[in-house]
This record gives sequence, C-alpha cells and structure tokens, in this order.
Amino acid sequence: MEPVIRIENLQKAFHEGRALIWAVNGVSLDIYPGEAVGLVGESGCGKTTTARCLLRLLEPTKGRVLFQGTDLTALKSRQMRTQRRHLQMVFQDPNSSLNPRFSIRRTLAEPLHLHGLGSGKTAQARLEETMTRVNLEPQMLGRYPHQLSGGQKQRVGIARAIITEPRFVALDEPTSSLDMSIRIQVLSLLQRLQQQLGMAYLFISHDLSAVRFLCSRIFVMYLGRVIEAGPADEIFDHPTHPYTQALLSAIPIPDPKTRRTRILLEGEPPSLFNLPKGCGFYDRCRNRKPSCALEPPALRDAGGGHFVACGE
Amino acid sequence: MTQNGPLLSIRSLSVSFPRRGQRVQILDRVSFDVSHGEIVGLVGESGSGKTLSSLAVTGFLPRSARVEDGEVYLDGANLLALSPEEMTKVRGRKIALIFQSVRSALNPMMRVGDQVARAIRIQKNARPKEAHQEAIALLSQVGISDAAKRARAYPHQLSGGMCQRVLVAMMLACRPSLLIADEPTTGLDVTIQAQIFELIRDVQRETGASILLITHDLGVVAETCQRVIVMYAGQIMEAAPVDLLFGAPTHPYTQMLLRSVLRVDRRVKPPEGVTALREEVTYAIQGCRFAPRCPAALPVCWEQRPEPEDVTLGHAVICHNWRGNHGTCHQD
Repeated sequence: MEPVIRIENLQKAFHEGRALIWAVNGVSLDIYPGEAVGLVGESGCGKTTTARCLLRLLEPTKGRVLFQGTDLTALKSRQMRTQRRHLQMVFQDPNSSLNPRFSIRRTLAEPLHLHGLGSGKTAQARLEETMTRVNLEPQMLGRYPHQLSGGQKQRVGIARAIITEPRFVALDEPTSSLDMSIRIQVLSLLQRLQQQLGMAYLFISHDLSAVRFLCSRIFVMYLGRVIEAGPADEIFDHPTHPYTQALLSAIPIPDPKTRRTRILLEGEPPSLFNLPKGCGFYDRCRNRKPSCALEPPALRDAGGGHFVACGE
Repeated sequence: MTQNGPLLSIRSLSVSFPRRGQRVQILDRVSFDVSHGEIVGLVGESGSGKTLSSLAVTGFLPRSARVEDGEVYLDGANLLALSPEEMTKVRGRKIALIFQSVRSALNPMMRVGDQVARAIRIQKNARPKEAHQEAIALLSQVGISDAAKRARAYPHQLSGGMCQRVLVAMMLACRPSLLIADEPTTGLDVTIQAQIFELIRDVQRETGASILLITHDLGVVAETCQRVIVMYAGQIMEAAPVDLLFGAPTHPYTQMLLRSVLRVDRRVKPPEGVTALREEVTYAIQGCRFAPRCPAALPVCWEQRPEPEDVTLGHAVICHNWRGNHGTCHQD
C-alpha cells in the first residue's frame, strides 16, 4: 500500500540571533491510509515543528514531504491551498485556535467556501451532519466560542478539521488542555471518526497513555531526531532505546498494585544551541560507550517493523 | 497543641464568591484531616475546589472570597482566626507552598541563591554570608549541580525543573510541618516530573513533614500518596486510603474518574457511554452537586446533601445511594 504521507529526511533550522537552531534534524516517516501514528517526545524534541513542516505551516529547510506521491514542498502556495482540503490540523488550545468573534457556523462554513464544497442548503446539511458527527447539537451552530465548554470547543476544532473530508489530520496535543473525563471522550470521538471516515492521523503528544489509546504505530523523538519507531504495543511493552525506556518508566500508573522500577534520568536534554556531535542522549544515557559520542547512530532494523537508533 | 491529633484539620469549611449580585457557595462544607508525616492527595477536575481549599488553608483567598463557615486548625490553632501578620508567620515557619506556576513563584529580579538565602534569614537570624553559604548547600541538596554558580542565576536563566528545585530548597530552609504542593509538575516533562516527585518524597522522608498534594493525575496519586480525597464542584465525594480508593471505589464520581483513566502499561478500551457525559459543573444545587451527571442519582440527591458514611474504617463516602450503586469500577 502507498503511504498517504511520506516525510523524507526533513530538516528545519531557525535563526536565533546569529545562531542557527536545528529543531528537526533528519526525520523520515511514512503514514499509511487510515492509520493513527503517534509522534512522541518531550518539549523541544521537534515533534510539533515536524507536523508544521509537514503541513507547510512552516517551510522545511531541507527534505521532502509527499502527499499521495505529490511533493508538497515543491508546490506554489496557490497549489498548496487546493491540497489543504485533504490535509487538516487540530490544535492544542481551542481558545486560541477558534476565532472568538466567529459563530460556530461561520467557523465551520469557512473551509466549505474556501474549497468550493457547497453553499446554501447543501452547506447547511453538511454543517449539521458534521456537528452530529462530533456529538454536538446542530442548534449550537449559532453560538460563539465563549458560550462553550472546553470539551465542546475542542469538538468544534475537530469538526472544522473533518468538514472537508481530509485524507490526513495532524492532531497537535488535542487533549492536553482538557480534564481527564473529557479527555477520554474526545479521544474516543477521534478514534470513532477515524474508523468511520478512514482518515490517517499524526497524533502529537507528550501524553503517552493517550498515544497508547489511539495509535497503532509510534515514533519517539529526541533532540530533533527519531530515536525509536515501530508498532505501538511493541514499543510500549518492549522499549529498546534507553531514552524510551526511561520515558515510559517515568509515567505514573494509576494503580497502586502496579509497582515498577523507575529509571530516573540525570539532568535535562542538551540545549539546541549546542547540539552534541554524537548521540543526542549521550550525556544522560546509562549504557553509553565512547563511540556514541562520535556520531549520531542511524536507525537500524530490530525486526517486526521496530527501528532503533542506538549504538548499543 | 496535640501531637496525637491531626496536623491539619479542616472542619466544615464553606467559602463563597459573588456572582451576578449573589453569593455562590463554591466550597461546600469541606472537612478533612492531614496527619503528621502523612502524604494526602486532593484530586478533582477543574472547578472542583481543590486549589481553593489550599488557598483557604494558607490565607491566600482572593479578596472577593468570603469564609461563610468552618474552621481550619493547624496543630490545634484556628488559622482563620489569625490576623494577616500572624498568618504570615505561620506561612514562613509551619506551612510551605509549591505552586503550579513555578516561574511566577520566584522573584524574576532576584538571583535564586539570594531568594533561598532570604528564606533562611527570615527563618533564623543568620548573617547574610552564612545564609548564602547555607543556600548553596540547600541548592546542591535538591540536586542542582554546580550550585555555587547556579545560585547567581536569575529564574529566567534556569529551566522549569530547575526552578521547581529552587522552590523545594526554599521550602527546606523553612523546615515546615506542612507542605502544600499544588500541581507541582504542571508544564514539566515527564522525566523531569519523575525527578521532582522523587525529590519531594526524599524531602518528606528526611523532614517528616506532612504533604497535601493537589493534583488531577491519578497516576501521581497512586504512586505518591497514602490517602486520597476526591472533590467535585466544591464538595468532597469520597476519602480513602489509596489502595481502597483504586481497588474499591464507592462513589459514582470516583468510579467515573477511574473509568476514564488511561494507562501507559496497557491499551485501554473506550468505556461505554462515556461520550454522552455532560461536563458543566453546577454549584447551585442544594444536594449533591454530582447529581446532574450521576448514573445512580435518586430524587433525594438533588434536594438534600448526603452525610459522610463509613464504608470501612478510614474509607468515607458522601453519597445517598452508595449501597444501591453497583457501577463497575475498573477497566478490567
């Protein structure tokens, strides 16, 4: 099967004063139709930058992004605009991603007008259908964001993303501002919509239990690079990279009967201003060897679709 | 001053706020204890009143708030009867606070070493130089490497995890008998969060302080606390030792919370019926404020506030229908 999204050796540098910061440093990943892929890692690892480059909300410094075989990075902005119908995004904070002066109707109708997907009665039918899909009453179309609760606002954000029937949706921490009983509702909704509409997801989150709930494959990033990738259950149950092991062991489990040995990491990730020459995790790694400091290890195949970038 | 009694005892505390020309009672008859050396978790979602309870204990209630009823005893003394000056002394010596917004808790214009030294000088009449030396010792005790150099940094030059360590060092300087930690790791990465909780547990073992840990993360509660108090919309729903709360939750709200919990060690199936839940919190209910969302609600629940009942010794539930409620409790 052809991937719906293929990222090839993506790199993104930002100017910070006179220095260059490499936020993403050679990421490659494929997303297949109807698949939910998790992109995880801690702040500053480059996961959000990767997603923004994928959708060309940021211009990649190097590398290619293919959508169903078309190189998005080579498109002119007008051509890119027509593709956006198929490539959508749900943002972290619905308070800042919904226009407070737009009614829900206007927020949802805008993508339909932009892409010429109907007006008048057909548009109205589509608005109502989409509202129902995200478990909101169609009567709420006349309301404004401040009249909605946090969970309802995020449902509007999801409705705006799916109303154009995209092939792919990037979800950037869509549940991190929600309470836990609301979080599971929104995640269940995303799961159901994916099954009904056959969309592919890139789910970006530092909330690994949410990733485990939604995703079938995951990519773990550290300091701008993918350091481990593979089927979600395989990585959650048998993490191989020392960073993934520490990351997973750090997450508290809501069950006092479960006791695990925690791998406590020393220190914090190195600054992006001063990237180490070798493996980015070298300073904090308990299995490090002198050779790890020389060059960053490449992803190697550990079998069963599981890839690890570790010199060990 | 009874060593045998609880260190902190909150009795029937009600706090109201003005809303549209009326007083709305946000905290409704909240009662709980924290014993000497105990780590108690206070959990709930947004609007549950968990932070408000801690503000009442520390005398930091906003001006618009009014204590309608109740007492807050620390070591037998009613804190609500103290003058602001007396309360300041209690905060410096007996109660320490760790807030969720780490950066706003530190003075951005002052080097972190000086801030810790100042806490030491308030605590005991140390000379500036001695206080500074002690501050550096405390900073390295909380795991800040190269403490002498880092002491000269301003908060913005340190990471969030580092700033939280500075706050823990300031707390150590005060040697408090009660530490209130309000979402102390919000905004920090999980590997840093694990470091901070390890540090807080170390500090607890070393100083024997009691800790009131306010959090929405049931994982943190399961791993850190001995006892848990569950709040919803300003009312306490259930209070139990950690293993009972997770193993035999009795209140429909606690059961709902545990059903919506996700785990990293196994794939959780979406719970049934969870998509239909309402989420608005209503304070204007005479009875149990969870009634509008409760699958086991009876007519009486709307009218009359249930009294606390003991399920077993040390496990209290505040629910009219806990005996008739057989909600499934866990995802397994």
